[in-house]
Amino acid sequence: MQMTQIERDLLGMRDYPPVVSQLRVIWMFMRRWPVIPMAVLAALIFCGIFAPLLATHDPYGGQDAGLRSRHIPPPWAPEGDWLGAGNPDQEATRSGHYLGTDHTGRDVYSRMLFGARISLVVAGIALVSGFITGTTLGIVSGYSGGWIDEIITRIVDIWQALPFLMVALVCVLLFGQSTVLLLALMAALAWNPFVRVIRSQTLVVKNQPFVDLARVAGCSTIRILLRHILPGVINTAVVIATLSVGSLVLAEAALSFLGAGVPHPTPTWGSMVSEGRGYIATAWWPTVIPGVAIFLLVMSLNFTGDWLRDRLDPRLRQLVD
Amino acid sequence: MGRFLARRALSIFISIIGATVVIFILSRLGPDPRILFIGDAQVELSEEQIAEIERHLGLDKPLPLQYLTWMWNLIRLDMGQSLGSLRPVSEIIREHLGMTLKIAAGAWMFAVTVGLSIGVLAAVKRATLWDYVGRVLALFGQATPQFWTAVMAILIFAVWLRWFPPGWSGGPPEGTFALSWTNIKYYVLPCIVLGWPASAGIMRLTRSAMLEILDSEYIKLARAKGVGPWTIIWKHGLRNAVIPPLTSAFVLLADYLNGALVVEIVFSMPGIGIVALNRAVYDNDWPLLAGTVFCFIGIYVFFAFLADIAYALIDPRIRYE
Repeated sequence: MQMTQIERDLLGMRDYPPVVSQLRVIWMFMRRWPVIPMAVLAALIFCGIFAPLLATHDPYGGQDAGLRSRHIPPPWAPEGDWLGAGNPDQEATRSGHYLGTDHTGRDVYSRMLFGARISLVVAGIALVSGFITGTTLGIVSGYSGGWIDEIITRIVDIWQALPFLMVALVCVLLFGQSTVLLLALMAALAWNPFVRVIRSQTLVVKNQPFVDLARVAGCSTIRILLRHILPGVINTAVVIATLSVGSLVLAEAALSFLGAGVPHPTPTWGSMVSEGRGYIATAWWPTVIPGVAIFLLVMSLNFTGDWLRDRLDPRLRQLVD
Repeated sequence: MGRFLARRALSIFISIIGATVVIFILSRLGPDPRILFIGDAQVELSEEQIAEIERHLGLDKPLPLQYLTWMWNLIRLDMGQSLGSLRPVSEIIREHLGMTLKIAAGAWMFAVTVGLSIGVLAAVKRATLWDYVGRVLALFGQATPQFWTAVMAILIFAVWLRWFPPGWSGGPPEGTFALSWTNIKYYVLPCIVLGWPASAGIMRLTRSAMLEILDSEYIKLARAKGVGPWTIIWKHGLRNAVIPPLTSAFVLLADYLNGALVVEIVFSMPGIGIVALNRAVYDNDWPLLAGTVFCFIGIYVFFAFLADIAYALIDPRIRYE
């Protein structure tokens, strides 16, 4: 469509040099779609899935680990020894520790890859179980009302009053550290944010005429819940899921940091920070790098969540923000 | 107002009861308290001795009665005797609670001042450098794990720049004036690390509330009348925008008290979190751990109640909901 210059001026459109206008198109595209967060997420998931192929060393140490190769700086770091030129004795420097080694000589890069698995899998499992339990409880609570509603809302309140990390430590003390316990704790944390919002959403949907019509037509309660209520709240549930998965990743990391996560010696990002922090003054890389990874993962999850919320359910801005 | 408060008080009462029941059940699911009481002393006990311990710990009574006795003792602040040091739990908690509360109070002040001021700046100077600085701060605050921020703070400000001490390690000398720099410098890093995520939440809330209000009709009217920009921002804008962030600040901080545990551990501040972790988890000191968890629940519920009161006082619509 051809416009006159006056029309273009009125609309505030300006002429840009070709390169700038192309950059502008890319910029607008990046503002419209979460390109960078998605790319980061995809990269991390890729690392998690193909960790055994991508890893250059044994994440548990193995043959080449040991005190001789402890705290080798990454080659690109200021302390690093690019290509091992400065110190020909240090064989390990040349054997490709991209992110250096930790205090027992284990390769940080390989441990990071396997740590990504733990973070993603634990957060994923917790999220799925929380999604299912939370949404079910929210729908049931909102649809049935009465004392069932009262009980479920109370349980949510009680759950919120429990200090999560302390209770997690209590459980570890009582039952011993295990992966199953970690998953149970994470699942216990994950369902809570769903219930309240899904419940209020259900209250809106259930007063719609089509629900009454379905009841008149003789649908069973289960059918009404699944075919008529659930589609009305599923968008909200998806948005809450993406918004809360970041905090789940953080919770898993905190548990691992406190020694309540996946048992030793499986590498997790949280436990890597915990092990490395004692040596922070001499070697920063085993501590800093896992933290950056957690930050990148959580940030891209949060960005994706915000974007999804604005697309699917802008009203949630007030509820969740 | 009275009815509203009564209803809230009732629901808080239920929360506390529920939370303590959960802890009580957990305590009975774990290892045998009789064995915990004996500890590591590998002695063979006769039937009578075991019965005596049972009677001493009140284990011979039925479970509901045991719960009631435990609750009654909790209300009288008698939380039993620590198994590790054989001192009353309430004494240990009283000794260390002050530290945790100091960190929490400092963190709260940091969160509110920084969150509010940057939130207002970001809203008033929308889409300028200030806005982006604020958003980046919030982004980091919500996506970085606190244990890692704490380690980074130590690395940068204590190890490299040497501005602050890297941890408590004895603390200021005896008799230091409470408000002197020698004393305060120990609290600066822990408070900032603990308050940062909360300040991010407050900042986002302030920004969105402020934007909404600055866009409203009466602000336009005030502008049209010729009211100065500062009066508009502070008197007409902030006063109305401050409600949601201030009230949620209580709950936000109560949520982040979970992080107090982590912050105390990293900075080795002798608060109740680290005491609970060190003594209780490693010594299997069950009464101390239960007392600490109860303490955390109490703090959370107290702050949540404060938030409710603040809401109801400022916004009458809540009361008639």
